[in-house]
Amino acid sequence: MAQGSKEEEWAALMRAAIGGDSSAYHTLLQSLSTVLRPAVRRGFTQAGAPLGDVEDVVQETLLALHLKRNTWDPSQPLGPWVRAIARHKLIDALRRRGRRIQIPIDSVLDTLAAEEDSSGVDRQDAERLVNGLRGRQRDIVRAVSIDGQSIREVAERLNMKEVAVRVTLHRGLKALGAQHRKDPDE
Amino acid sequence: MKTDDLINAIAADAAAPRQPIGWVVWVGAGVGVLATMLLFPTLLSVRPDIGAALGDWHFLMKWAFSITLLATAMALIVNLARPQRTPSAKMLLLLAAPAILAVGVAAEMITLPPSFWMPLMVGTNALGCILYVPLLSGLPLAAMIIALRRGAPARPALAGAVAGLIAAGIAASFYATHCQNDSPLFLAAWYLLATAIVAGVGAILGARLLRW
Repeated sequence: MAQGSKEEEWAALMRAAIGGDSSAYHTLLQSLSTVLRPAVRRGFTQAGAPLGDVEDVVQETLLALHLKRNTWDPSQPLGPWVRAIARHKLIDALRRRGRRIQIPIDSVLDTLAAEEDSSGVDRQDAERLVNGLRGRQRDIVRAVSIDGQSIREVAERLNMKEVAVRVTLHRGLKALGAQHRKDPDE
Repeated sequence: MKTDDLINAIAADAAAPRQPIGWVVWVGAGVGVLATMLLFPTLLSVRPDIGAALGDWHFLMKWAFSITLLATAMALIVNLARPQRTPSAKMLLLLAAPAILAVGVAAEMITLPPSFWMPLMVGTNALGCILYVPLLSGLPLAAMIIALRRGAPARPALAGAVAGLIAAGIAASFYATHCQNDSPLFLAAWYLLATAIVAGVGAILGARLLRW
């Protein structure tokens, strides 16, 4: 029952986000990250992989669900779609780390909405993601994310048009999403 | 970067336009059809007896095969462009085109004596078929791969292979109007081989270009 109402809430937030509602999107991503984190951690544990990279996978999943949100069918619940993306990113990460996938990842991620993460210890930095950005993309992604500035503030500070800031931010996020595919250890 | 910081950045990008993947793959297929329509007359001519051919079930069988292939592959591609796995049962849809072909082959073999079978299968221009169908598939395959790069296919190679089937369906539909060999036996040998080649290329491209 609780799961069903959560699904409805998520789907409603995602529909609002796709309509351009940043604050609904923020709420949704926060909510998803708290359920993704323990699920990904369980996946790492079952694969016997060190837990240091859990947050990377959470971030890659959040980025992928943003960049690929056009693959969600708004008439369907959001959870199974998020789970599929998380599963893809988890397997990808484990493969990159040279793990053979023998565990039923499906069962690990099945309980995506069942448990919330309350400990704060996992909220560690995952520096790898932002390191690959250059120039304006890096400045703008940093300003909006770490400094928490609005698009308008960044535009004024950098003397850019808002639309240019938006485009650069979007390209920066796309570059972040593509980054792990270029890892040399692949 | 902390995850909360990343969430700030992603939330700020909420308004970035994003076309639903179902729409994107249809545009890709439409562009593929248009491009082939423009390319076809520069390479090949429509057979002179096309009027008579349109009244012959042998000729229509070629379209029944290629258009069914195109339709079933299109029906699957939106699912394959999403991160959730497509159920295997759904993939059985792809058997429709070969099933139609099998009926045609059976009809041909029942109505014609065995001495006709081999010459009809070998045909008069098998090389043309296995060269031109893949060649004409090039642009639609490129259009489909570009469209699918906006997707998040659970199995990139499979999505690429089905993109290849769409491209081969488009290419074979055009090539059929040039090709003089109408026997289902010819179709079963050479169109099927040409289709397999394009699907194989699609799978290779998919595995490389559709990862996300």
